[in-house]
Formats: sequence, C-alpha cells, structure tokens
Amino acid sequence: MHIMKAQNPRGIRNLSFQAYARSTNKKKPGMLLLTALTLLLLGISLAALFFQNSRKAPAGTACVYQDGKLLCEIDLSAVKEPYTFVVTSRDGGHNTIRVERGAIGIVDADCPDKLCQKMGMLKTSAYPVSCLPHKLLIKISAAGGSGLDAVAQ
Amino acid sequence: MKTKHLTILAMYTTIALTIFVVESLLPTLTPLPGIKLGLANIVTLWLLIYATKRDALAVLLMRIVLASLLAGQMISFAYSLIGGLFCFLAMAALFPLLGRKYIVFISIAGALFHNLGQIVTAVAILRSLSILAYLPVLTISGITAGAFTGFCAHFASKKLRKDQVWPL
Repeated sequence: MHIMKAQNPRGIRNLSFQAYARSTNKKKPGMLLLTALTLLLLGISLAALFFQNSRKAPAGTACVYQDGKLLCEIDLSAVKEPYTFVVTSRDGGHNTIRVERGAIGIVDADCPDKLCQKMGMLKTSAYPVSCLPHKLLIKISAAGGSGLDAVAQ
Repeated sequence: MKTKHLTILAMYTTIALTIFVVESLLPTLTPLPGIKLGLANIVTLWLLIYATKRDALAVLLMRIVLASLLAGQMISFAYSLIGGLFCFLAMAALFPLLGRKYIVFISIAGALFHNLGQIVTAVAILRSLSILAYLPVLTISGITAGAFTGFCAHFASKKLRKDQVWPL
C-alpha cells in the first residue's frame, strides 16, 4: 500500500492534469533559453540601474513641468529659507512642493496614490519626481553642470 | 449555456477584482509609480490556459473598468487600460507559441509589457522623456513580479483537479 502511494501520489488526480504536471517538470532547451534571456534582461537592467546611480550628482536646478509646459525653474543651490508652494492641476487637484537648499519634493497632494508624496525630498539628479494623476513632473539636473546633463544643456 | 458562460466570466471578474482590491491595500514597497505585484494577472493567465483569449480579454477589460470605478480617477484608468492591453497582447501572442508549460515566462513578458505600456502612456501624458529614467527599475520589478504571478498561476493549475475548474 505504501509503495503504491509512493509510486502514484497523484492517483486521484485527473489524467490530463497529471500529464500536465509531469510535462511541466521536464526541462527542455526552450526553458533554458528563455531563462537565460530573462536573466540577461535582468542583468542589463541592473547594470543600467548601477550606471544611473553612479551618475547621480547633488541637485542643482529643478524644473517644474505641468502638462509638458515649464511652470518654473528653481536654482536649488541659491535657496536661503525653505518654502512651499502649491501647484493646482487643470482638473482641480493640488500638489504642495517644498523647496530647500539642495532638495525638492512634493510634501502634500490630493492624488489617489500619493506616490509623489512618498518619494519624499530628492537631493540628487538620479530620478525625476512625478505625479502621474496630476500630470506634474519635477526634473532635477546636477549641480555645477557635470556629466551628460551639461552636454544636453 | 450562454448564461452559464456569462456567469462564470462574471465570477472570474469578481475574483480578479477582489485580488486587485486586496493587493492595493498592501503597502507599496518603493515610492516609484508602476511597481506592484499585479496578482490580478493570475486570472488572465488562468483564462488563457482554461478558456479562450476572448474570455480572458473580456474579464481583463471588465476588471480594469470596475477597478477604476472603485479607485475613481479617469487618468489612472488610462494608465491601467493601456498597461493592461499591452500586457494582454504580449501574453495572447506568446501563449500559442509557448504553451501552458511556459506560463511563468508568458507572465514575465506580460508584466514587462504592462510596465512598458504605462511608461509610454506617462511619456505621452507628461510630454517628457525624462520619465524613462524609471525604465531599469520597472524592468527589474516587472521580471520579479511577473515571475511571482506566473508561479502562482502555474502552481494553482497544478494543484487543482479538472472538476475543480469552472468549465468554459
């Protein structure tokens, strides 16, 4: 009885499903190729991520865009006193932006996910801050205009 | 028969919506937009295995419409709709080629295309390419989340007997 159970643990299962379960355990060359492809893509992304992090520099200027239009440009190195201002979107939503010396971030918003708020204060040029529901984007460029950003400018 | 079909699809939509709502209650790991598990995609994968592409698309579209009604913003509807359609097109194209054995890879491709669709939407809405800076992070999260979702669908379909699956 015990031997039979060990030989056929899925005895009660439907046959076609059993066949499916067996076939999924078989390693085929296609499986290896796809795994390699996935790992390659993962490697490329990790490399890109490390490249991004190595290229980040202290925040210099911040440009606030709404609907793709430039609202204002702030020189973060010249900020003496921290201040906040409110940007209202076309459909009535608002984002409160806080500006400090060398840092900018969204501190309050009425968008549903509040991801922009959770990103906190940004001190480097690695990522832009975005509030997708309110079509708001804050681009941060590096201080002193170094690296690729300087070339782009 | 037609009513039964409709009812079963409605039940699948309910499952997808429930998974979606429960997942949205989980705290986000990183504050970057677009990083999530996408567990509701299990239902789409499931329907690609056990039903037709048409049924899978119907349930996906109903889930997106209802989820947007629950979350309540037109703009997030655009993001989920385009992300969902990108994801579905990639998975529906790959499924006949690879088959259910490769469901994990189909899920990964779906997750990657979902994120790609959302980035393309963000580029179009914000009219700025700088949002592409999120692409490496979203690729890594897409592979991880897609693999997890794919394994969920894989093990669920391995564990269930045929009479435990709603016939379609």
